[in-house]
Parts: sequence; structure tokens; C-alpha cells
Amino acid sequence: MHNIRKIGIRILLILAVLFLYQRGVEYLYRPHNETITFINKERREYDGEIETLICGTSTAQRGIDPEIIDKKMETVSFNTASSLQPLDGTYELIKDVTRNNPVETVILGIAPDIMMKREVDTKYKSRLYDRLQSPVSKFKYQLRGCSVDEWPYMMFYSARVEDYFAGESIRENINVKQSEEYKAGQIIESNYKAKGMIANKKKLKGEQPDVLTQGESEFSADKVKAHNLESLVEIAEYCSDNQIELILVYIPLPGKKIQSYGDITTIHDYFTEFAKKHDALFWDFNYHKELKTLFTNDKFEDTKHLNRNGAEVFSEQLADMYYRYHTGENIEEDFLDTCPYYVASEAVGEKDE
Amino acid sequence: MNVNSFSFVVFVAILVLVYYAPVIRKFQWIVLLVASYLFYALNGAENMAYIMITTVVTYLGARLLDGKNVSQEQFIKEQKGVLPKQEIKEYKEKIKKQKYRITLVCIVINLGLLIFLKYGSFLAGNAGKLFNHKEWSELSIFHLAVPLGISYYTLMCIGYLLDVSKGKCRSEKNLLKTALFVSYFPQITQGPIGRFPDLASQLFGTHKFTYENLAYGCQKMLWGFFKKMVIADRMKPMVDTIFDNYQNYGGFTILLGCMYFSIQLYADFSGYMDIVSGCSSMLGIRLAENFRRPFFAKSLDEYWRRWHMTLSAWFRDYVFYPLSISKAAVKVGRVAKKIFPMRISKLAPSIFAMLVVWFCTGLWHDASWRYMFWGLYNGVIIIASMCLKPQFAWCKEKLLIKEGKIWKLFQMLRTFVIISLLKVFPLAATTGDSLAMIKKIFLSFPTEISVASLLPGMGVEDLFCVIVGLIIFMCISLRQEKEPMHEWLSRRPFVVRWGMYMILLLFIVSFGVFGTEATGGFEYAQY
Amino acid sequence: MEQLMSILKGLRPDVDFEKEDKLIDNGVLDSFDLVALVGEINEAFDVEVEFEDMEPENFNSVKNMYAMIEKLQNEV
Repeated sequence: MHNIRKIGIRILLILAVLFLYQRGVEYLYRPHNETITFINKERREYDGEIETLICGTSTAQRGIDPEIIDKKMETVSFNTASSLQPLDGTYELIKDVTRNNPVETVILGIAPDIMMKREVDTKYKSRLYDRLQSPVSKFKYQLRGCSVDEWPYMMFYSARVEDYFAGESIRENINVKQSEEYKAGQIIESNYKAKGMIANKKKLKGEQPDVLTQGESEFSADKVKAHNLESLVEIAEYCSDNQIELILVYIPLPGKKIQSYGDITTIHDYFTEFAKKHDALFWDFNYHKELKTLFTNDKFEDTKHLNRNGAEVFSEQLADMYYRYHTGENIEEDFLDTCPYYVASEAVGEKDE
Repeated sequence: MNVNSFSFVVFVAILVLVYYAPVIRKFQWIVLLVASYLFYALNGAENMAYIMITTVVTYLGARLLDGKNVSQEQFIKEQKGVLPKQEIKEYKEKIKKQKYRITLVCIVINLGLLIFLKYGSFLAGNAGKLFNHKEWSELSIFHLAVPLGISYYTLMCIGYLLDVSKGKCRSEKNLLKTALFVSYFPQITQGPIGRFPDLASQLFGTHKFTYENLAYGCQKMLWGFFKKMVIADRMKPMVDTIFDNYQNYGGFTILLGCMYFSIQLYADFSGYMDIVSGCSSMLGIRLAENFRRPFFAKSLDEYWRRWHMTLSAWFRDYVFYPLSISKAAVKVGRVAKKIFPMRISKLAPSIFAMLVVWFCTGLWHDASWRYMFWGLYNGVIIIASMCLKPQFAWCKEKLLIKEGKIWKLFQMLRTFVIISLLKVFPLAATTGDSLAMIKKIFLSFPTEISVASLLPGMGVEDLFCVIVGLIIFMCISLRQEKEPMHEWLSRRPFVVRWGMYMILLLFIVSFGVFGTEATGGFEYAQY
Repeated sequence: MEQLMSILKGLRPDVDFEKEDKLIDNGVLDSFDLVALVGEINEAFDVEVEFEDMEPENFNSVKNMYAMIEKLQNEV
């Protein structure tokens, strides 16, 4: 007994020191403009109200603007997508948000590359981990999605700090954090837009190639890793069990990227089948009849992500489609039988504006 | 699961809870066996067959040898005074031959496995070169994965067999208990190379939980993690920078690199030792020490009595002694008497045995010519210093050198430089590289002294960690020369003790390089 | 006994063999000393010190060494 008390006190002491230390390190080293701080704060403010949840990888994080969704779909939405978000993490995240919120719709931006990935880097897992708010969700994800060796990185900010001696940036960081604007909740210098969305003003400069070329990350059903498919099924089943509408969207890509996936038809067919089998919706915007006119180069930040303008356009299209779908209109007419970039009638060599 | 990883900490924490559960009491050794095999499986399940084979062979061999010892004792007890002395002697000779055969078979099997798995491709490659069949070295059978700890547990088994043969201890009747001795997880990765008489009673006995064991174990593990993650792993990038591109650096930088590597290796290996012996202490089992402040050694000979002590003790007790009193050594002595003066010829059997020991030690580290050179160089230096003792004494007298602090310091620095120079062999990728490096060290002179030439590839953070770490390390080592650290600590007030622990812990969670395959591998696990 | 003592003194005149009883355990005699000693003992006492006999206990003190030699002589 005496031993247990002795040990217990010491363990508490260690935890207390670690906790205080982490707080100190975060104050000094966590960048004042790090988006996760704003995202978590804002989500807590909307606790109990979120009806539409947006998740997925960086394409969803940058492509879907909750403010437009809110206005057009007359809902309260939040974007919890993050870079290379692993699907088992997305599953935990959906459960985490649903715990305290009356979620009715989940919009999941599908990512063929994530489906084929065996494991994502610890850094990306931590971005997902930071978005989980309840300790139960955090612990569950640690057990399920992280190896034990990754736990210190997840739990301790001090393990993530890359440069302890960056004097200049520490000073700047502290200065900002002590300023009145920051204390009042103003966001200083960040790509953060609102409600979880990251939006960049950068525009793609490249030309879209005219000739189809085979890329490296060619998608096929046998390249999909079993555990990823399992997580996707779990998401679908969870939504179905909880009367949540699951909408899988394939966010538009610039022509160049579409071609790097080899055959976009494979992707389309795969997710169409999945959606049918699991009672979900799948809207493939890369088959949208106006893909080439709506999503030109200037709507993209790079060869994968929509920029601020592109996100506006896409979010409007998405919200519009949702509205029309729920008022009984036939949205199938918005989609072609194949990707507009594959339409054979257009001569090879013709350049798009 | 690396020993310096967080998962190992969790593994040990769970093990300690299970181990001391009241219902387990008499079955603690079974818990250890399960934990050891679990640990082994988490490090490469396909290789478990080899350790099992070695365990079974060793068990059977030891039982047979013990049986021979018992029957011999019985026979002598019954027949003393009855049979003539000559007959008793003949009987003993017969038993000795039988024991010799049993031991030989077991050693051949165990060592054979080790040689085949570890040195197969090296031998095939060289044989191939000799017989003009270069493709032999490419055959996949010579590229099987080397099982975890094979170099260590094989030596432990051979030691156990020889101890039983000598009558130093009885054999273990229980195969599973033997399996525990062979696979005991704290020592499986990199030793220490334990002896059965020391470990048996501890491994198979019951241990009551004491707060002191837990506290001592935690202190040691904390210190070990600090040495490995904050000092050794922070020095590694710099050492790698120099030796991956040694052609771009001057001789002086390479020499510095060797010295940095000596320190890195010490922090790495002794860090591992502290982690595993701390873990084992928590379970009530004291492992043998492997280090005794080696950089305070005043000669190369003394260095090897302070560095990797269990390995040199093993080679001394099971190779050096039997070899030096063997018939072969006697022959060498007789031949030497005819050629060399009395003083040297008296040392001849030792010198002969010593050369074999060092050759084997080099070979044990790695199947390569450069390691054999390394071993032989160590041997030659030690033998030379032994033979030239009077000459050195004469020099010292003539130069009016007095025994004192300054002379001791000189001896320590001299030893440090010698062992650092010898590090070119492990550091180089090939034998040719190591010779090229030696040439550079001795022939190319520094043209410029700059941070890039003194500390290449070293970041500010790395430097901070290494300097602070080494200062703490030095203070602790100096204290340990006088008394064990935990005794000194126990006299400090709670705040001071816990202040120190917290500083180490915070260093680890901030600056520690967490164990991943890329950086977390221990240097000595490759042997 | 005197013979043994003179061998020891000849080998290591700096050691006080009368007082020391942990010659091996304390590292007073190193492995080379031990091997040379064994060679001399074999010659002087006409015995054969074997691997089985090379235990620290047998060489820790002069008394132990002498006991070992006597045991070996009785076996012959």
C-alpha cells in the first residue's frame, strides 16, 4: 500500500511536470499562425451545432468552403479535412464530431492516393490527431492508427519541435502572442480562411498537356490497401447506422493531374461501385460536363489543389447540386459518361483557354 | 521493437505489472520466458527456429555432460581404495574424452549455425574468388537474415556447456528454464554475455517487489535513454557526414571523426546497457556490468578490461586460458625458447593465445578482413607493450617522468587516441577505405581550421545536446570512480534528485531522437 | 610452500602474496601472470593444471594455490 502511494505520487509529479513543460514549449514554439489552433477553437465554439461535416485530405481542406456551404445549403458545416488524412483517422474524426453534434451529412473528398498508401508519415497522423478533441477519440486513434513509438510525437509537442534554437522566430512568436490583437482572437498572417478551410491565393501557371500520358501513381483496385478499404467501409456503415447521409465527392483536378492517374475511369468505376454497395452518394466532379470551363488553370493553386477562387466555384457547385438533389431534380444530367478530357471527339493537339 | 523505443518502455511497464502480480509468484520465470519469446518474435519471428535449435542442443549437451560428471563422481566415491589409482586415472581419461566429444559436437552445431548465418556470404565470396566462381557469394542461401542476438546467445551457450563440463555448475533439468537463460530479452540484443552460475538462481527464483529495485531500475533506464537518444544519436549525423565522404575531408578531421565516433559508440552501447540492466533490475535480476569508465584507462590492455567487459572476460576464460595452457601453446613455448630471450619465451604461450583471441574477437564483430586487421592490431599493440615493458620503463626514467596526475592524464589521452585510431576499421566501408583513411590521418596536414572542418554536419541543436550531455556524462563518470551513482544520489535531498531526473526526462522528450529504424538502431546489435 | 612463494615472488616481486587473498578477483594478477604462473607450477611440481582448474578461487591466495597443487599431486 505504502509503495503504491509512493509510486502514485511520483507518477503524478512526472505527469504534472510534463504537462507544464509542454504548455511552456507550445507557447514558445507553436507558431502563432498555426491553423490547428484556430480550427480547434472555432470548432469548440460551434459545439452542438454542426450538421454537415466535411472531411478528407488536402484537396477537401482547400476545396470546400464551409461558409458557402452554410449559406447555400442552409446548414452549419465544418471542415475537418487535413493533409494526407489516413482513413482510419477520418473514421475516428467523424465519430468524434458526431459525439457532440447533430451531424446529418458527411461530405468526404475521396483521394485515390490515400487509398493506396500503406502508411502515412507521423507528421500527417499528428495533424489528424490534433483535430480529435475528446481524449477518448485521441486514445482510440493512438491505439489503432499509430505505432507505440509514435505516441511521444503525438502526445508531446516538445517532440515535434524541429529547431529549438531558432531565436528570431521564437522572439517574433512571443511578440505576436503577447499583442492585443492576438489576445482578442485576431488571426495574424495565415492561410486560414474559416471553419477549418485553408485557402491559398496562388495560381497554377502550368499548361495542361494535350496528350494523355501515363503517370506513376496509377490507381487500380488491387493497389488499394485492405485496411484503407476497411476504414472506408466502417465510415459508410457508421453513417448508415446513424442515419447520416454520406456523400463521396471527387474534387476537380487540373487536366495534368487527371492524366497522371492514368485511367480516371478506373477511379470513377471503383467509387461508383462502392457508393452503390454501401448506400452512399458519389459525385465525381471530374466527370462534370463543365469541368473544362469551370475549372481552368487559374482556379488551381498547384497541380492538385483548388485555390481560393476555385474553392468558391466548387463549393457553390457542390451546394447547388446538393440543393437540387434534395428537391428531386435529376443531377445525373450534370455528369458525362466519361471525363471531359477523354472525350474522343475533341482533336488531340487542341489547346484549351 | 528497439530497446531504445517508447514501445519498449510500454512493454517493460506492462511486464513489471504482470510479473509482480500476487498470483504469479512462483511462475515469474515463466512470465519472463513468455516475455522474452514475445520480444524475440516482435523482432523477427521467422528467425525463432535458430535460437530454439541452439537451446535444445545446449540443453541436451549440458544434461549429458552433467550425467558424465555425476557418474564419474559416483565411480570415484565407490571405487576409491578398491581399484588401483591407475585404473581410476584411465576411467577419468575415458570420461574426459567422452565429455570432450559431447562438447565438441554441441559447439560445432551452435558455432556452425552462427558461422553459416553470419559469415556464410563472406566465406562463399572468398572461396568463390579463390576457385573462380564469383557467383557463389550471390547465392541466396548465404543471404539469410541473421537472427537477433545470435553472436551473443551462442557465446552464452558455449560458456554454459563449458561451465557444466568443468563441474562449475550443474546443468538445468528443465528445458524451458534453459530456454529462458538463452533468450532472456534484456540481454538478447547486445549482451551483456551472462554466465549461467550467476544468472540461474536469479532467473528462476522468486522476486518480491521492492520500491528500491523499481527506483534504481527507472533511474538507470532514464540515464540510458538520455545517453542513447540525446548524446549518441545526436553525434551520429556528424560522424556519418565525415565517414560517408571521407575523401572530402582532411586527415585531421578524420582523426577527430574517429574520436567523435569513440564517444558516440560509448554513449550508444553504454546507454543500451543502462536501459537493459535497469529494466532487468526492476525484475530483481542483476546483469553483469559491461563498462567501467573505459576512457579512464591508462593502457590498451586496461581499456579492454573496462570496455565490453563481458566479451573480453568470455574470450579470456573460454579461449585464452584453455589455449594458453594447451599442448599447442607448450610447443610454441618450446620453440620460442630456442629463438628468443628467456623473458619473451616465457610469454610465448600467452602471446600465441592472445593472437588467436584477438583474431577471433575481430572475427566475432564482423566477417571482413578489416575487422580481422582491427583485431590483430589490438593484439599486436597489447603484446608489444607487454614485451617492451622494461624498455618503456627505461625511457620513462631517462626522461625523468614522474608518476603523477599529469602522467596519468597523458596515459589516458594516449590510450584514447590509440583506440580512436583503431576505429577506422569499423568506420570504413571496406578494407581499402580504412587503409586510405589511415594514410590521410598521418600524411595530410590541416590547411585550415574552421567549423566545417572541426564539426562537419553538426547543427546548433545537436551541438548543444552533445556538449551538455557530455558535461553531465563526465561529471557522473568522475563521481562513479569513487562510488556508485545511486548511492551518491540517495544521499541528496528529494528536490535535488527529482530535479535531476526531470531535467533528463525533459531533455529526452525535447531533444531525444526517437527510435525509428533510421537512427534508432544500436551499433552493437549488428554483431 | 616456499617453492611456490619463490615462483610467485620471481614473477611479480611487487605483490605482497602473504597478505593478498583476492589476487584474481581484485585484478592483482592479470591473465598473462596467471598463464606464466601455471607454466611454472606445472614444471616445478610436475602436475598438469587443466582448464577445469583455472578458476578464480584456485588462484586467489597462496593457500588456495597450494591446496590445488596438492590435490593435483594426489591424483597422479
